Amino acid sequence: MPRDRDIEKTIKAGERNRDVRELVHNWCTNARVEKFGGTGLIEVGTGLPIGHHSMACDYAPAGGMATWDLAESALHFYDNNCVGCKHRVPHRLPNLTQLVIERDAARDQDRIEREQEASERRKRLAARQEERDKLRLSSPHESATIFDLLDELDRKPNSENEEKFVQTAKLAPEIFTEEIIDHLFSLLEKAEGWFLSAGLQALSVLNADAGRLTNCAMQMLAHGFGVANEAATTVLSNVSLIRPESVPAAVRSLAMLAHPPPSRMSFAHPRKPYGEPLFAVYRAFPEEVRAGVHQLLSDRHPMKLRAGANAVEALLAIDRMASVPFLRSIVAVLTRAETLVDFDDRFGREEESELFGDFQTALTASMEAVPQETDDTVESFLSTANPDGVVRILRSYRQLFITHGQERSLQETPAHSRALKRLVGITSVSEKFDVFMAVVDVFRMSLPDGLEDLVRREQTYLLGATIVLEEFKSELLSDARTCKTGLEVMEKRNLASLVGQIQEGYTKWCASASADDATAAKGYFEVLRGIQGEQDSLRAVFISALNQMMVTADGLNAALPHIYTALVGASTLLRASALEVLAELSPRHVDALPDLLNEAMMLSLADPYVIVHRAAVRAVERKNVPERFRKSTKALLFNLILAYSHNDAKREDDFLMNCISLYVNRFSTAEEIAGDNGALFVHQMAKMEPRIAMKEIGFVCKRLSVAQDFAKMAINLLKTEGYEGVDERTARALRELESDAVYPHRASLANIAIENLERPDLIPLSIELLTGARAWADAARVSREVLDKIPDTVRDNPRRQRMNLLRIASDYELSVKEGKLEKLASLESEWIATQEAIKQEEKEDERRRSSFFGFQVPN
Amino acid sequence: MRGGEVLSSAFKSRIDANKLLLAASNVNDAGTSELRTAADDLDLISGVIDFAGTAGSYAAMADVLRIAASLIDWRRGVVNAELEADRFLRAAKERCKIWRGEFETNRNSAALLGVIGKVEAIAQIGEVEDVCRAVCSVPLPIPYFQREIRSGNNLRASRTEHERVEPAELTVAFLRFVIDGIPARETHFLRPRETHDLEIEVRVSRWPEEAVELQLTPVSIELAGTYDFPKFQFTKPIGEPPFVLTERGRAILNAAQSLHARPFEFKYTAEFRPHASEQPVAVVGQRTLRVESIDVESSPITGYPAMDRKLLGIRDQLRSQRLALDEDLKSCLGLLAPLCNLACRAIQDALFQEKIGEAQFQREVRNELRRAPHIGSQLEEHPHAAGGITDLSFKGIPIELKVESDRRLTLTDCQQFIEQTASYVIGKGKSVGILCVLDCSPKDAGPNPAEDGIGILRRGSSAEGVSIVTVIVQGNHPRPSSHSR
Repeated sequence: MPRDRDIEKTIKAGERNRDVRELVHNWCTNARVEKFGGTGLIEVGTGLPIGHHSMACDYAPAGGMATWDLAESALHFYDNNCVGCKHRVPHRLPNLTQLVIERDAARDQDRIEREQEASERRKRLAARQEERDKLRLSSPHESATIFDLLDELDRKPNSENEEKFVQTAKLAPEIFTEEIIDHLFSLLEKAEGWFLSAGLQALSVLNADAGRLTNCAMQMLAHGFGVANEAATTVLSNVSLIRPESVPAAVRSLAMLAHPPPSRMSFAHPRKPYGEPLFAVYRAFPEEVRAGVHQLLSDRHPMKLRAGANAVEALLAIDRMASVPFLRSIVAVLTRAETLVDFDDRFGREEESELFGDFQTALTASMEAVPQETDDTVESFLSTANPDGVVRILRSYRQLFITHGQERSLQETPAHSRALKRLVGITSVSEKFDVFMAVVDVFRMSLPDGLEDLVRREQTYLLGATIVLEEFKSELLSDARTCKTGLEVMEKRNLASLVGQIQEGYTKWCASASADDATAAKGYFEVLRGIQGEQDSLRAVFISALNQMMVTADGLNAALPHIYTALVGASTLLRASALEVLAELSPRHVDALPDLLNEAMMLSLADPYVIVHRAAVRAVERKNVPERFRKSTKALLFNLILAYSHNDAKREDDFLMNCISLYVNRFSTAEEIAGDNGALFVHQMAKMEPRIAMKEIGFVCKRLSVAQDFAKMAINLLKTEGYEGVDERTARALRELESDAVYPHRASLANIAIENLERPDLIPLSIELLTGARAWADAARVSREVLDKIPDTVRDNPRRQRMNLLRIASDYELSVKEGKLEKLASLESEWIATQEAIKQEEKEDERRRSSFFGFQVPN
Repeated sequence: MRGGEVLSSAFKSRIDANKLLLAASNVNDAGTSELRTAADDLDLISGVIDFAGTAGSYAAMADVLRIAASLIDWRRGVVNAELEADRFLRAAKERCKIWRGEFETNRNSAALLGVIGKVEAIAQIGEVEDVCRAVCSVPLPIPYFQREIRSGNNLRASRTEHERVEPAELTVAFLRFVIDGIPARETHFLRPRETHDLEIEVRVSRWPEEAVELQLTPVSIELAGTYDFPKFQFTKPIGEPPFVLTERGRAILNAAQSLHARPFEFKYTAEFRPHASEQPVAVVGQRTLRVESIDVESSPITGYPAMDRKLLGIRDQLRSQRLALDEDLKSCLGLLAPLCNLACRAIQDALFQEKIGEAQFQREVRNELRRAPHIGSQLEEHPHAAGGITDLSFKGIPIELKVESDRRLTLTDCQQFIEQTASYVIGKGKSVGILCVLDCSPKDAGPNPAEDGIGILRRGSSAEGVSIVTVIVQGNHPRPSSHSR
C-alpha cells in the first residue's frame, strides 16, 4: 500500500515536470532542462522526468539549482536570467510565462488572504480590548496592572509576557477580584490560544475554583491544545475533581504527553515523557481511561491510533496487565492495517512506519509484561494475516533482542523464549520472502549478551530447525533449475539464499552460546556428527558458525578438531568453510592456532578447487603467517598468481588482484618487485578491468611503483570512463611515482588530459604530474590546447577563466625553465587580470544567487 | 579530489617571490625583508599543497630564497662598509648545509642543488647577482589541489586519543615448559598412557582490574579424549607487576601414535576470566608443545631402539622440510623399516661375512623386503625409469643397491652413487628415493653403529632438489676375537 501511494505521487511529480519541461522548451530554444543524479526504476518504466532537474542555458551567467519540482528551478532561473535577456529565441505558446502568471497570481492571492486574516485578528483584538476596558472601569485602581499585562500578552503572546502575568498572580493575588477571575475563566472557556498557558498557571496560583479550572484543563486536553503540559499539570493537582465523563476524550493528549512522538528534526532534543498525569487519571478512573484507549484504537485515523498504542505502552509501566484488553486491537492494526486504517494522501512511507513503529513498540512492551497472553493473541491472528502483517509482528518481536542505549546485555525474560520460538517456528511454516527477511534481521545480529542460557536451552530446537530448513532450501534450488523464467529462477534462488542466512544465524547463535559451555558444545557437535548422507552443504553451515565458538580457549579446543577434519577432508565445501572460519577469527585467537592447522591452511593454497584456494587466500590475508610457513606460503601464492595470470580465456581479475596485492604487500622483496615479478604484476594489472586495478592500486603502489611499466599502467587507468573527476586512488598512486618514471609517458598523459575535457579534475592533475616530472613544455601545451577547446560561452566562462590561470602558470614555469625571464612580467599582469575577472564574476554570481529560493510555486 | 583548489592563492606567492628576487639581484636594491616574507609565504603554501612532491619543491625554494636574502645582505654590508658583513655570507653557507640535510635526497629539488653549489663556492659579491638569477631560472612544479583538512571533530578525537594515558600493554610471555624435570625439546617424546609432570612458567606484564584469574589452556586439534593436558589457573598475585607465575600439573597422552602420524601439538593460550575482562594483546614466547608418543618399546619399528630413534629423525626431517609428499613419505618409511632392520642385523649376526656381488646383494635385499607383509608383492624388480633399469621399486619409490668391496664407506662417501639414484627418482616423478649400499670391503676395525650409516643425501640445494635416503649395510667384518690377537 505505501509503495503504491509513493509510486502514484512520484508519477504525478514526473507528469508535472514533463509539462514544465515543455513550457521551458517553448519559452526559448536556447533553454534546456538538465537532469541531476541517477535514474530510478519508475523513471525508466514511465519515461517521465522524475528526480531533480534544473533549467540551463549557455547564455545564462547564473546556473540553476536542481529541484524535485522542476517548476521551482525554472521560475528561479527565469527570475535570475531570462528577464531582460537579449538572446532569447521564443519557440511557441504556451510557455514559461504561463507558470510565471500563475505564480504571480498565487502570490497575490496569498497576500490578500494574509491581509484579510490580519484584519480579522485586529477586529477580534479590538473586541477583547473593549471588554477589558469595561472591566477595567469597574475594577479597583490597583487591578489596572492586570489589564495592562493582559493587553500586552494579547498583542505579544510570548513566554516573557506569560511569565510576567503569572508572577503578578503569585506576588499580588489580592488585586485579582472575583470579577477579574471570572473574566479569566471565560477566556479559558472560550479557548483563547494566547491566554491558555498563562491563564492555567495564574488561576492555579490564585487557588481559583479548582473544579472549574480542572474542567477547563480537561477540555483543553480533550481538544488537544498546545498547552497540554500545563493542563495536565493542573489535572494532576486535582485528580479527584475530574468529571469522569471528561476522561476518555482527554486520554489522547495524556498519552501524547506520556509517550511524546519523536521529533523529525534530527538535531532536536527528544521531548521528555510526562506520564504522571496519565497514570494518576488511570489510577482514579481506570475504566474511563480504558474507554478512551478503546476509542482511540477503534478510530481509523492514524494519529489517534498512534495515541492509543502509545497510551497502552505507557500504562504498562504501572500496570502489567494494562495491555490485555487491547491486545486484539493492537495485533489487528498490525496484521490488517489496510482495512482498519484510513491512509490519506498526505500519509507517506515515513508516517506509516511511525504508526507501525508505535504499535510494534506497544506489542513489544506487552510481550515483556504478559508474554503468554500476547503471543497467544498473535498466534490467533497469524494464520489469517497477510505477509506484510506477519512481518510487522515479527519486527516487534525483534525489538526484544535489541539492546538499548548504554546497555551491553539483555536480561532474559519469558518473553524472549516465546519470541525465539515464534521466530524460529514461523520459518518452518511460511514460504514468504518478506517473512524470512524479518527473521534474518534477528539472527543476523550477534547473540545478545545475557541470552546465552536461553539459546543453550533451545539449542536442539534451533539446530533441528536448521536441519529442517536444509530440505526446504534444497527444494528451492532444485525448483530453480526447472523454472521457466529468469524472474522465477531469481526469486527461488533469493529465497534459498535467505534460508541459508537463517540457518547461519541459528547455528551462529548456538555456537556462540557454546563458547563457554562444554556440554552445549558437545551437543552442537553431536548434531553435526548425526547429519546423515552427503549433506555437505548442511555440514558447512555448522562448520561456518564455529568462529563464534572459537572465542574462548574451551571453544577453540572444542571446535579445532572439527575444523581440522574439515580442512583435510574430501569435501571441497567443508574445506572452504573451515578456511572461512579461520579467516574470520580475531588476531588473538588466530595466534593460538597450532601449527598443524597453519600448515593445513597453507597447503590449501595449492588446492585445485577454486572455492578452496580462494578461501585460503582470504584466510592468509587476514592472519599473520608464522615464520616457518612464510617461504612455502609465498611460493604457493605466487603459483596461484601465475596460474590465474595465464588464464586469459576466463579472467578472474578480482581474485588475481587480491593475490597480487597480498603478495606485494606481505611477501615480496624489493629485488623481486624491481625484477620480473614486479613486471608480471604490473602487466597483469594492465590487462585487468580498470575498476579492479583501481580498487587496489592505492594498496600496492607504495611497493609496486618501482616496477617496470607501473607508471604507464597507472597513467592508462586515468582513461577509465565512468569517472567524472579522477579516481582518487589512482591519482595518489601516480603522485607516489618518481618524476623519472612519469617523464617517458608525458605524451600519453598529455593526450589523456586533452581528450577528456569533460572530467574537471583530470586536467589540473595532469599538469601537476607533468610539471612534477619536469615536462613543462608538455604542461604548457596541454593547458593551451584545453583552453582552446573550452567553448567561449557565458556558461563556460568561469571554466575558461580557471583554465586560463593554469595556462598562465604553465607558461610562467616554461618561461622560467627556458630562461626567458623578460616574459615573466607580462604573465604576471595576465595572472592579476584574470584573477580580478574571476573575482568580479564570483561577486556577480553571488548577487544573482542571493535571492530567496523558497518562493511560491502555483499548484 | 576532496581538498579543493590551491593554485589561485599559491601561484601568486610564487610569482611575487620570483619578482622580488629578480629585483633584489640588482645591487641597488637593498631590501630583503620582503624576500624573507615571500619565503615564509611559500613555506605556508607548501603546507597546504596536496601533492607531496610539489609541496617539497615549494618548501625547498622557500629556504633557497632565505639563503639568497642572506647573500644580498652580505653584498649590501660589504658595499656599505658595515661591520662584520661576512656574517651574512657565513649564515648563507650554514643554511646551505641545513638545506642539504633536508632536501638533498629529494629528487624534486634537484634543480636547486646547482644553486646551492654556487652559494657554497661564492667568494665575491659580484657573484650574488648570478646566484639570484640562477634561483629565478629554476622552474617549479605547479600546485593545483589543496590538501584535505581534517574536520574539527576528527582533530579533537585524535587529540583526545593522544592525550589519554594508556596503561602498559597487557602481555603474557611463556618463559619455560619443563616435562618430567627436563626442559621441553622442539619435539618431545612422551610415553603414552603414562603420567608426566608438566611445569610452566609465565610472565604477566600487569593484571587487569576486573580479572579474577588467569587461565592457561592447551589448544589442540586433537579430539578431547586423546589427551589430558592440564589447564593452569592463577589468581591475582600479590606485589607489583610484572608477575612471574609458576605452576605444575600432570599430562597424559591417552593414545600412542603410528610411525606415519604427525606429533601431537599443544599450543597454550592465555586468557583472563571472566571473559568480559581485558584480554592480553599479545601472548609471546615459546608456548607450543610438540609431543611424539610412538611407543617404540611396545610397538618397535626395527627392533633396535637407537635405530628407531634415528628413523624417526629421518621421518621428521623429510616431513618438516617438505622433502617428500605424504604418500611417498609413507612408502619410503615402509621400505626403510626392514632395510634398517637388515643394517642392524648385518652387524649383530654378521650376515655378510664375505665379499658378494651386486646381484646377490639384490637377491638378499629383495627377499628381505618381500618378507615384510606391507610390501610383499608390491615390490617390483628391474622396472624401467629414465632410460635405465632400477634395481627395485616400491610404489614408485626406487631402491638403488650398490656394493662396495674395496674401501670402507661413510655416509658422505655414498654421495658418489647419488646421481644415478636421483635420475631414477626424477624419472619416476618422485622427490625421494632410497640408496642401500653394502660395504663389504676388508676391515681392520669393528663395525660402526648401524644408525650412523643412515641419513639423507641431497642432489641440488634448491627446494626442487631430490632427497635420497641412504642406508649403509656393513659386512665383511673381522671376528671380534681377531682384534685381541
